Amino acid sequence: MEHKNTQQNTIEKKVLEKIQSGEIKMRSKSYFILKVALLVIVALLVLVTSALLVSFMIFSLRVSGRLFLLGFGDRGLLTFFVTFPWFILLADILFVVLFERLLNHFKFGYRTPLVYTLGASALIIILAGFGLDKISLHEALFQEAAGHHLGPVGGLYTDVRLPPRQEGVFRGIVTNVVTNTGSTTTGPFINAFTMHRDDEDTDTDDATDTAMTWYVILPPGVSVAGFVKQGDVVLVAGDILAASGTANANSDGTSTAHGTIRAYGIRKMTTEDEQ
Amino acid sequence: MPESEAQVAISDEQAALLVQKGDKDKFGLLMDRYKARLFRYGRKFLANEDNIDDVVQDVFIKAYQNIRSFDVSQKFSPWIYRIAHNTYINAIKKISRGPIYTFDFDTIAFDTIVSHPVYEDPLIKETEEVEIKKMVEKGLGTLSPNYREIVILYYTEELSYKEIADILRIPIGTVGIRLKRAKEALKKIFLKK
Repeated sequence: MEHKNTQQNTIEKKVLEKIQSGEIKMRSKSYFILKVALLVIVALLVLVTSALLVSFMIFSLRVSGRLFLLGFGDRGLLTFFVTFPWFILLADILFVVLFERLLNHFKFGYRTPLVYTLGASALIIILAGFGLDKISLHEALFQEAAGHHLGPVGGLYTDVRLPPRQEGVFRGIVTNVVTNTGSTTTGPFINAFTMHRDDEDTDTDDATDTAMTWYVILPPGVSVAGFVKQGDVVLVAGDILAASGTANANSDGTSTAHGTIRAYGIRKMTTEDEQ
Repeated sequence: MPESEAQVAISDEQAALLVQKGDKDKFGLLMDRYKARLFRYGRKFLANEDNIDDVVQDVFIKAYQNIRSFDVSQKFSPWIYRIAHNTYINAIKKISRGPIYTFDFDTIAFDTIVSHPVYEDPLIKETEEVEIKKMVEKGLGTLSPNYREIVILYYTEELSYKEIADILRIPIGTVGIRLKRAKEALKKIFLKK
């Protein structure tokens, strides 16, 4: 017992000596204020970055047309999942977890069960992401990137508007409508249309290259008449048939279409859809 | 060092405030009040630690260096116990060169995820105290570190659920659930013996 007391008193004496001699010093109040401020700034940065990722994900899904795949039945749903930007989602989940960990430095953070802090963090980030999407931030950045004003960050936006072609999803402009009841053109298919594929650039091929022209056969039960007309912008999801068809793409002559798409889903794009 | 009457009248929080303002001697008063408790906590926490003196000394040095981060409107004891908790964990890490908490899926994964209803009943504590303290003495070493620390803080250091939650930085409900499981584990060990 006495040994214990001596041991404790020695420590007390040693520490007091170190304090009196100035060997150990109190940290200033501003050091702790700065530490908390830094923590808050990092937490806010994580929150903003995470919200930006969410809004970029929504923007890329929308402008590439992948969001509309959800309305194309089972095949569309499958293609949506295959082409979903999982990497961005994973990065965002990591940011949500990081944000939750940072909140745990504060009393309200660690006293609240994980399910609530994590859920609230995710909800805040998702809502902020939708909010950022509404203010058309990415549209503005996309325009900047197109003008090469964004540097390396612009690379993120380079291909964002392109639909996943390798999965049979295309965007294009209807050039001719083929019906079984007196169309302006005739071709090997009925209930179809020809489409000039939009490759999101301004090359010379945009107007003349036949490699850009595709036949699109509509899904069963959908009649081309009244559904699309020349000049409409459409998003098409379907299977690319191996053989190229021959089409009278223009009323004044013939041209060879690059191929044929048997569509399982078509959406006529409005100006709003493309924004 | 016995405290004078004037010193006894000063609360821990008031003493901490005076230290913050530059009264270095008042830190001696705080050390006087906490040295025995921190030694006891350290001995139980660091069962195999020989240089407990150095570790406790480290706790006081850190407490002094960081005392201006202490909010005097809060209680002082959870604040210094938090420093002790971190220092002791670092000491164990140094020895074992690895994380001291083995991943206990049952406790770690679930008890901090959801909210557990918790009610700290002083009557229950009083009635079971003698029995549990006896079990703690005998079975503490066999408990997992998560349970062991909670038991020490609640039964030996006599801290409240809220204070323990602040020291370990876990939800209050989690303190309750871990303590309940620790008691069950202790009872099992005691029955086996």
